[in-house]
Amino acid sequence: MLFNSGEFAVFLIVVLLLDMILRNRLQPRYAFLLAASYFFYSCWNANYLLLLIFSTVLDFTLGRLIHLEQRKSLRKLYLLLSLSGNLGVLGVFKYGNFFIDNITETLPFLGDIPRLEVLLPVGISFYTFQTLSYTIDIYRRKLEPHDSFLGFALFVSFFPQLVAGPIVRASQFLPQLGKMPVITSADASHGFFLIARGLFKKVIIADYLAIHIVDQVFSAPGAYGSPTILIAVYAYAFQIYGDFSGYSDIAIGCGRLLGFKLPKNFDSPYVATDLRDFWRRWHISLSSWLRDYLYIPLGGSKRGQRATYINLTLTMLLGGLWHGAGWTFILWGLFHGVILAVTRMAQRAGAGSCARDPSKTGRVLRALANFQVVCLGWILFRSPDFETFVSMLAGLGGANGWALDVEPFVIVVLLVAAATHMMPNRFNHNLALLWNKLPAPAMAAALIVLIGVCSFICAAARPFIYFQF
Amino acid sequence: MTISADRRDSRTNQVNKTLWVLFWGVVFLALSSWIATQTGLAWWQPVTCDQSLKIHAYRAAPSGYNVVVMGSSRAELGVNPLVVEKELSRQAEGSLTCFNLSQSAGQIRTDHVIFREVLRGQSTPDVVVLCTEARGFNSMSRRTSEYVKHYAQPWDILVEIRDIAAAGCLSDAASSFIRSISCVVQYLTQSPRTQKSKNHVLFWELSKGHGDPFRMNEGDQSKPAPTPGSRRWKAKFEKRKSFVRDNLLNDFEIGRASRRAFEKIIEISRERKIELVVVNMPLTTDYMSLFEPGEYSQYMSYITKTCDREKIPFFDYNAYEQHLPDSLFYDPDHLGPKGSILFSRRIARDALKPIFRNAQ
Repeated sequence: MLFNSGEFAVFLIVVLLLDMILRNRLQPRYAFLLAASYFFYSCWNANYLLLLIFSTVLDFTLGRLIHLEQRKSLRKLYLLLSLSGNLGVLGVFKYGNFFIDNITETLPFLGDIPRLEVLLPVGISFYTFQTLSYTIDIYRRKLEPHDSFLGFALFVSFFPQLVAGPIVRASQFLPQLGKMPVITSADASHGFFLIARGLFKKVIIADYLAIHIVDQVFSAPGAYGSPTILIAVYAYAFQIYGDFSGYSDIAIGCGRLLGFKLPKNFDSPYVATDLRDFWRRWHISLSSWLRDYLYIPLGGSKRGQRATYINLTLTMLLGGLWHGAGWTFILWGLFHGVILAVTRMAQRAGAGSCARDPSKTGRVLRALANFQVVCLGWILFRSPDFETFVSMLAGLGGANGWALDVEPFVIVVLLVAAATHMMPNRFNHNLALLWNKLPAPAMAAALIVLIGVCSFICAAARPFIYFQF
Repeated sequence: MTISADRRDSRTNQVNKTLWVLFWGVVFLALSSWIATQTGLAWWQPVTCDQSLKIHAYRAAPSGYNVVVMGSSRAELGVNPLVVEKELSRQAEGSLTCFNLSQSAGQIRTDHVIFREVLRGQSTPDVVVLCTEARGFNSMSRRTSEYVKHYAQPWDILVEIRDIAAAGCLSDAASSFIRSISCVVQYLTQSPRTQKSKNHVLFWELSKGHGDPFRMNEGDQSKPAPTPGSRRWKAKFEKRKSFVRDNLLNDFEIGRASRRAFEKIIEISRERKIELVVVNMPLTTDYMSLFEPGEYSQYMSYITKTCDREKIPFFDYNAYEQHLPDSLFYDPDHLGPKGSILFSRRIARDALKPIFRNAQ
């Protein structure tokens, strides 16, 4: 079920209504939410629900064993079992065919290795990292194992954040269980606000830009002039932001309506003045996970400059691989890792000079410059193969001429996306306050109008798909 | 005591606010859908603007049509209603009318929703020619399931709930009101009031739903259609090959949803006394080569057995003896203008004339 679908709306309404009835009874409520989450997941593919349950049972069991065991060697063994179990499943289902294809290509004398007949389980990258945070935190003695399997299973599979994040830490979610949920009217209003905002970003911005320019240009970059390609790249930057942060908003909003506070996942990333700042604002739950469970265990910045740069690059490379099984994702991660390392080098060298320019103009210019760097990375991220990436760069350089072939409304949507993104936080805050003050009828009317506009955009945004069928 | 009173109060407030927002949401949804219905707009599906306007053009006809053709873009291009009408008028007394209600990207599940929601009341035809193909029955198809979600699924659930609720109503007015609840405000925005929309509606009215590949695929207007076997044809085919295998024919299986949709079409046609004819669309040899062993025969076995069991006339225009040469195709699975004329005459002669002759 997609968040921007009618069936999800029906599902959410049913869950909210039944949740209200069960609100006073914690265990039945969690059982219901767990059942709803499993139902939500099984709407995609019921068979792969078993993988989710496997991860849940594995880490719940190993979490308890790690906590009860005093001997370091055994604790390490249990942690390794958790890591290998979870990452093994992730490796097979997400990366298995990628490795097979590459081995077949580079070592042809091995012959044709049969590909795995598997689909990529939806959300596996997210829930794997979530369950790993549980066992690792227990190992580090930062967390105690949760008493109830039901509660832990709900943490792993909670439907708002199951398929596309944010990646919630056990330490953030589990303490919210076991307490009677306290949800004020402001919480409910804010939940609807986040859902409305998420729909706006996902459907009106992201889907529209995807269909009207991004997909077209990236599928045939050789057919477009340099200005068109540039606009497509900027459009993709806002498409991926709108898509991802829109989903996160809807997830957090749904969580709010159910009485759970999920962490913020995006904080206007394109106003970042450098890549370090960008990664503090983009997919915050992932970047903080990578920092705490990969970068810091590798040594972080504590083992000298050279090790710091290597750790940064390696962390970002693996972060790129997390996004998808493809060389373009790996290269994208490597690109960010190298730029981060270079940024760090430059900041160390330039400390005390103009590295931190307090002037507003300076910040704006640096943000614009950083945006160009991020967009360069996005070209690599979006390109289905390296040839498309090269073709896009060549096109940007004028290889296909300088024709501008963009629908005017695309520019309008792009400007709206940029303007809303660059708005200062107080604007968003004031908008949220204004929304919260709306009475229920006005709030409902606004939501219905938004849904109507989204549906219109969905319908009108679909091109005539004639020749695909 | 203060804390628990506050908690109770805040819980009540939250419950009240959420409930009220949901309540008013349903009210506004019903109101906007009533307005959409009253203003006679193409209300019922979040389809592409062009396709919903075709439905609007169909429903706007004052006296309905005798024959309706349904299917996907293959039928949309392949069956020319004007040719069918001319062929039928040669023998029939009076003129018979035909409309091509095929939907691009349509499949059996979308056919079912159109059958159920559009071919009713004054819009009920005498005969429906259901143009089927293997792709349209593949329940595992990645891409067409997206379009089912856009065409049918969200509203399928609402329509089912609506039907159950309406059936439980004591009065027609209440039942009718509940039926209106399933419409949404988006249909207001699909109003054929803008010039572009009016042009679309006019096109569909004049062509009676027959698609034009050169109009629809504007980029190719300056070039003639590629000749089968030519370099351009092969390049086009290569590009589509992986798309078709990975998104349309992937994991081929005629699942429960597809079977149910087809069975429901048969059931509804009997209830509404519509003569149903099933036609298997022709394909080029290139396209046929995309099927993996067993896939096409799975589809053929299912469709022939079902039609045989339900006593529905079935015409297989992809069979060897009926096969149309590849030169009549615009691309591997869509007939070109000449192919469409020939194919339309065949349908009129083989499938429709016997029905209207018996009816006289």
